[in-house]
Amino acid sequence: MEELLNILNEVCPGVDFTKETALIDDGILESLDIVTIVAEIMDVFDVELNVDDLLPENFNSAQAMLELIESRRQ
Amino acid sequence: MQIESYEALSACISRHLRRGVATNAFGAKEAYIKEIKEKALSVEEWDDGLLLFYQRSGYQRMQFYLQSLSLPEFGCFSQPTVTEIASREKDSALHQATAFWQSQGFSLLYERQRLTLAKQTPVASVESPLCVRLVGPEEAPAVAALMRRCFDRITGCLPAQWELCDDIEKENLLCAVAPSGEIAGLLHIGREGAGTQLRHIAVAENFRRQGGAQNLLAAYLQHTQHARSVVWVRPDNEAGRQLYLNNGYQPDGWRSAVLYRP
Repeated sequence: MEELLNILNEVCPGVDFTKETALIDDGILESLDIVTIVAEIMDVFDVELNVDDLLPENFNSAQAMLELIESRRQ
Repeated sequence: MQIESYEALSACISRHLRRGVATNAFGAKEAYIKEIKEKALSVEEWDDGLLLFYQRSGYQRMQFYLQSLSLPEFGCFSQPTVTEIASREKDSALHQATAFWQSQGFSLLYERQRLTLAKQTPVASVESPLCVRLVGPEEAPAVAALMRRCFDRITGCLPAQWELCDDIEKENLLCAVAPSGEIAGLLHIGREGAGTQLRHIAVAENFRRQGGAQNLLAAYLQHTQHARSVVWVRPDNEAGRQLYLNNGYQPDGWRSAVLYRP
């Protein structure tokens, strides 16, 4: 989780990513941020994500992103 | 190369989702599938980039994924091309991309500013002779004609006919109707996750100053359960800006550059 939080804080400083659960729905993260986050996640976690993964529900919380990463690791 | 399936497009885009990519393409799967079905989507791809072209009547819209600011030799600009690049102050890669496209023959037509209305912000309607309601399927031609009168054919982000019909079916179009039955105004809604975008709002010139725009806005927010709303507005659209600001919209730091290559 710590590596993911580092990525998120780099992309969007000043947000408590451990608590937010509506990052997309509330407009805290935008489409452009998601593309950046996906690219960083693939690099740091060495997983393959694709355009089908760019769904709001996968990025509404740090936990959801972590679950996405875990699902791609399996 | 024309794209024949979503799977082919997905594979293309996925190859370019890499660290450092500059892009203005954030389409949803459903929207891509519709463009493919209409045979409106083609791509140019090379190692460091991908261009997506959406065919429209007499011009094409372009989106891009660029790893480096360079283009191979190809002939994909044989017709007028428009692209819009949205960014915040911190998105330096996109500012560089804007400058890059200008060096490739694109001209900056204008910039737009994004305004956001927080969810659950109340907006009041006013007394008006115009009645606001959802657009019916049979009214598509009248709505399209009003859009063409009020917005630029190339830079007005006008929906294709199939897109307009689709949006009517999904209850994404409201109209203001005069007592005579004439469509006096329209409001076009875009859905973005839990939020919405006000894509177009227009009142025909002979029906202005009758509360139509205010009531379209109020009806739109009610129709979308007062979800968070965003709208892009040109700095010179003073009437539009005042409508939005008076109803609680605020600049949110996003700006866009609309670029055009004849």
